[in-house]
Amino acid sequence: MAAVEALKFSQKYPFSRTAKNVLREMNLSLEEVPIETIKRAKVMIELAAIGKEYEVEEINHSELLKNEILAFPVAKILLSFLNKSSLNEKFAMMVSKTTFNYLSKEKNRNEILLNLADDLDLKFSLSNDENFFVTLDLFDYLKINFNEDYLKLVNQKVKAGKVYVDENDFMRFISELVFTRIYDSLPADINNVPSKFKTMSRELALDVIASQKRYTEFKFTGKIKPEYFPPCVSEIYDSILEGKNISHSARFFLATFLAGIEMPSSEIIEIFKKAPNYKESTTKYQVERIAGKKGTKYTPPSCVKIKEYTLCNSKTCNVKHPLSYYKRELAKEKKNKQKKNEKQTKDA
Amino acid sequence: MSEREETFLKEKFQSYYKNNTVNEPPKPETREFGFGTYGKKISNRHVVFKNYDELNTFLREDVPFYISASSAYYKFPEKRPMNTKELQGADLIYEFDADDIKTKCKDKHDTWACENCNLDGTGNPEKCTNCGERVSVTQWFCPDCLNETKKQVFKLIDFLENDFGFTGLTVNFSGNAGYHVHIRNEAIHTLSHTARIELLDYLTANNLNFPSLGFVKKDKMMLCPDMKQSFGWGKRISEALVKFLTENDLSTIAEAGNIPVIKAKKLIPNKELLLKKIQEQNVLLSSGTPKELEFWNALLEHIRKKVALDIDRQTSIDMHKIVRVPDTIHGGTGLLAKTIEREKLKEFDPFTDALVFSDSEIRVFINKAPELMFKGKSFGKFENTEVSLPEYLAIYLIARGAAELR
Repeated sequence: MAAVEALKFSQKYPFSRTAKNVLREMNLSLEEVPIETIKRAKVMIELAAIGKEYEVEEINHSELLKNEILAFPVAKILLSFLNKSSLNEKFAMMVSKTTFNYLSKEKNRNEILLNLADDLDLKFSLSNDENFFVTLDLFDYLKINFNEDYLKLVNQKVKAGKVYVDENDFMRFISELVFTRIYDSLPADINNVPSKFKTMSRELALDVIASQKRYTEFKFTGKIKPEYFPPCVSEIYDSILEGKNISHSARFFLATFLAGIEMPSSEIIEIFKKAPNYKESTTKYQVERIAGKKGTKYTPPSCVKIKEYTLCNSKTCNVKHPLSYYKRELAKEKKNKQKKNEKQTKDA
Repeated sequence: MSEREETFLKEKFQSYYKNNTVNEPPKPETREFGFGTYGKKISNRHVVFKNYDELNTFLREDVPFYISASSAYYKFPEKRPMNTKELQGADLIYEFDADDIKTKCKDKHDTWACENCNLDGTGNPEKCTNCGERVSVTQWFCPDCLNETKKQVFKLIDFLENDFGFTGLTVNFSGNAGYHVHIRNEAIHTLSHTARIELLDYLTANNLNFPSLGFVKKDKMMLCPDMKQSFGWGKRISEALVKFLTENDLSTIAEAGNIPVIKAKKLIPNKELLLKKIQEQNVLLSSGTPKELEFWNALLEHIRKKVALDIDRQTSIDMHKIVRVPDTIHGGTGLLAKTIEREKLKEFDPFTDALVFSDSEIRVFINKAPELMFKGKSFGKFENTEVSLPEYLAIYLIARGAAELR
């Protein structure tokens, strides 16, 4: 790749080996990192924190390009000082999305895709079958997070340890792989990093908090309202009340959910009494453990986990956690009541 | 079971371990072992053996009723809690058990008793047929239900070898009612938890999306994948669909597609023509009415369930689980968890090939047992009977708690 081309490639794909080589050639110590680069790195993190994407400006000046490329490892250093996995995840997500956007706009996309695949050390070969672009090694394919159903292995063309993908799926796969690679590389080793970066990360932390909504802990009080349970909980709850035998993971989930909405342990045990193989001592012990009587309280699994255990039964909940669903429905009810009261007061 | 029976079994197991050496699992020094006493499969965990010599000495001297080893390889297998062990990798292990497979033979050999109204009977019902309360079931296993389990094993091997291209597969009998398939090689060890879920979702066709596989609606037609060119699940579903349509009459097809037979007759006036269309033109339906679409979706879903493997999710993705060590004795049956050579898997009969005790006769009193097939010979059924039986069968019944020494 010619010099400027390599720089432009690295600006868009700063995680690539090409970008690493550019940085190595710059031979810059961390003390010498320009202030513009640090600012750029901070912007990247702040944007990631609020779920936005960063735009790469069209630059032709090679020094400016180099500063841009350098912003990526600097951002990783700052993230490593902050050491917050949720922020790391958002950052990796942002770079992954940006990669996808750039790839979809590339004029010579085939070539760029193959370059990136090489760069990411993938085992692949161009497909002989005209319906596909490349064949990927199954073990490489399994390295992504399977957030989208269509990328799941079960929906791919798999034969003899190879996954056959078309250009579009390959582009999505590469973007997903970028997410995993960046997320797994954080936090980086920061033992020999100058202390000024630590100071900067502290300032950054405050900015990030300011730009995010402050999370206030929600306390569940009052009567339990099963009509507001998310569909996955409702199904298990109804099954157990009907005396059906339900799986261990479903029981665990139900107990953690009920404990999560502050249902007293004695009431949870009453519900489990309906199970066909109910054993009082075991149930009591387990429910009390889950409710935190003997230490830490168990929180219910997230929607991702619930999907893993095939307990998810709705695609329209629009939440990441079953407790959020219940919380949202309660809030809706409260709002409706308020409106009703206001109307009644007005009418009166 | 009284102390006398427990001592008897222990002596028998000991004599086996004194005359035989266990060389499983690979890399024993990196595994966590667990063992159990009579009636408790795992009473101790976090046990370590530096090599096979130590393991065999333990088997000969302590004679556990059960011994299991982790699928995982650890840096410090003896440490606890689990996260201090430092996971280095893990084998993949899939387990199939006759417990989970509904077979007709269960009506013959399983028995149940109602805890509420005291009614009892044969079979494996979910609830009491009289009062609807829970029942306790005593399960037995015969060559028929174990053969059904074996069919699942063959199905799994087909997926693992032809789709995933995996090598290094070994199969062993579980020692009771099923089979374990171990996949051990360097590439497998590094698979993440997410990757293991992905493989499991593939095997169980979980989250399968028909349009992604080529079952797409185009204009008024529903297309299906080209059977000659497709592979993976697209091919499996298409082939199974053609087989299902060929082998079944319209009433079965209607039932699978969730419609009345009259409607099925209208939708499929000529089955041969339909099969030809599927195989040659890759077209499933042509009128495109919502009802017809609903029927095909229901039928495809029926096929998906038929072809998918039934694997327990939790045990197959748990990287920290411990599983019976192949070639050791299952203390609840006295049968060997024998490693089976691939070419012998088809013929393998645990009630002949997993027996390690002699034919010499032993006098026992049997409380209750159905007819049993051992070494191709039928025994029983028994109820409150004193009888002389070959040692392997006497041990099987005593270990199950169905008989005592006389």
